[in-house]
Amino acid sequence: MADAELGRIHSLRDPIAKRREREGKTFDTSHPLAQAIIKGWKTGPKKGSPVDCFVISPDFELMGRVLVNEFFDYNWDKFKRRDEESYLMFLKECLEGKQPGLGNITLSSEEPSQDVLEVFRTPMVGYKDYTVVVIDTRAFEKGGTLTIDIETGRADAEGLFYLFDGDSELPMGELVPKDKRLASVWIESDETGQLTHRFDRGEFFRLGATGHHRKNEKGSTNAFKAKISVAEYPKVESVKEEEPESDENIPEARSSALRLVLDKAQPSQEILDAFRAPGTGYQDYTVINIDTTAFKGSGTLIIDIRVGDADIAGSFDLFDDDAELPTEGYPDNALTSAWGISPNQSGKIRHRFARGSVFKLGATGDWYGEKGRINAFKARFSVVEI
Amino acid sequence: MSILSDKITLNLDGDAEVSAKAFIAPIEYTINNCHVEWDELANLRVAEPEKQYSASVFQAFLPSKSVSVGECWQIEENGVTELLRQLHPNPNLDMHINVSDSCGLWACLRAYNNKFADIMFRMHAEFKLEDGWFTPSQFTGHLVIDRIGEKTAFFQMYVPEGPVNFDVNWRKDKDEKYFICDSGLCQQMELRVGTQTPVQGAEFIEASITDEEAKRILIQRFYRSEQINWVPPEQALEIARTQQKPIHVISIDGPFTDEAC
Repeated sequence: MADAELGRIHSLRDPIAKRREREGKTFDTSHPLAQAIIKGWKTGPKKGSPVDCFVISPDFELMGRVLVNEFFDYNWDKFKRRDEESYLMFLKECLEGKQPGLGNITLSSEEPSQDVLEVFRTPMVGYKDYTVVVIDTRAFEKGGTLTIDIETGRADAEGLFYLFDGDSELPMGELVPKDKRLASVWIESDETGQLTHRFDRGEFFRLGATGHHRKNEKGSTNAFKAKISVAEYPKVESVKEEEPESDENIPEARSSALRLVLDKAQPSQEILDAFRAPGTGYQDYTVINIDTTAFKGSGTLIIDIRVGDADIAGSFDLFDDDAELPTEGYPDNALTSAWGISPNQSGKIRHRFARGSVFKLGATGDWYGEKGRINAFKARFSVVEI
Repeated sequence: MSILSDKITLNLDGDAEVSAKAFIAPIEYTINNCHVEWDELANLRVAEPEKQYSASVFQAFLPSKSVSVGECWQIEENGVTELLRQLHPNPNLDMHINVSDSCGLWACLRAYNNKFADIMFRMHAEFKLEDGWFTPSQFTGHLVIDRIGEKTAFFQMYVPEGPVNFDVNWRKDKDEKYFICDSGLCQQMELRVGTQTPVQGAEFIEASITDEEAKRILIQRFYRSEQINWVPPEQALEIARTQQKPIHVISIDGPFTDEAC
């Protein structure tokens, strides 16, 4: 089935509609199978794959998804697994109810904790625009305590984080009633918070993250990192929830300019932030200033970068302090760069200097991501003296 | 698909001359807007709108021995290359991206009677542009032969419509090794001799298969996935419901069984 027939490719909607009109044919996108496929495109941590394979139940429920363009390379690079082996494993996991590829975090006694690096968005309309992480705790048959430690990025947007049942409808109203959520927390930018929930038998849960519609600009975004863990023992009570009830005491908006100062006492620092896809041929930098002037002699600035799970790759360029950052074309004046770091992958920038100064790191989506899409990134800045 | 047993021999008078018209409609749709940014794609037009050929060029489409309806044979490359040059000066039959089943030029005898023989064909070819490649989904069409006069009664070779019907690889930066990929829709890319096929309305009492059957025979010459016994979606859903088995769906940006994706 061609995605374009279901309206996935915006630029082809017009000629397809004209062709159908000419041929007197219609295409029923409200059919449950079509709806399941459309839902499948929007499910899971990565979207926009040119080829997706789905397994769908006779009742049109998604059982699993594979992003074909990445799946085989990933399985070979990571596990040295042949294509047919990998695909057979995917099909078996679908039939075993493991829901592969649907964005699930699967926790077990062997792997009781996992990290997620994602982005939340403030709704343009309405009150909620959830980024959803599905958490599979079914391995814990005797129950346990689910703990989610969340850290938001340094952008201005504040986040609301909710823990929901695995199968309930996500509430989209202004306030989420207590009986519709298992836990919730409001976290300002560049802060941390925690969700906990005790369960008697392992099941699916969903973490829903959205920008705060009253405190943020519409459409504003921020990165978040969530460490999701299950402890079988001891069981603890849920922490008290924070629920914003009014607009009072809204903190001042933070400045988005960030200046990291590295010195001998603190030669390494880490930040969590987001970048945006600029469109082919353009640059749309998120800028971090790195002050290494405390180092009077020579050294090497090392930047370890990890790109988040969303569906665009990142490009990172290091500039001198007085360099003008380009808004289009190749950054010819960059000192060094790491381009095209794929989602959930890492990269490194190294720059040797004769004397410490101020540098600027520009983070932007690569040219192949859909313009305006965002992804999180984590960067660790270190100086090693030579 | 069964092959009907009565074999015929197909001939053309190579001394005759025919005039072929070529068309390429301006490209208006691509998924990632390459037709706007890449001038060479935006300005893709036919090399020669009209050209005279010796009828012998169409002998490339004829079988070397007698054939039955439903029977396939390979088309000779030189004649096709000459025809494709009317569309663009740099055709290539050895596809630059080939995962083992992309290349080929195949013809099939669809029908015949005492007057006409209708050959249907499918081939994969591409054009080398200055800064990349233009790869149509396929070229398909009909060659209708006047069996009595041994003449080309009608010829049409075209890129069929689809959600997308071509793929492009654009080396935007000549100093880089990578290509920018895109797919799109070209409303018309066609070579034609004659205005209307004489087989419309003609009766083929002797032997015939439908266009759809001929297409099915031809596509199986290319893609191994076509050896799967596919069923229509409605039938698949009914089987899933009655047997309570899951549905395996492949959702793809372009067509599964051509070169546009």
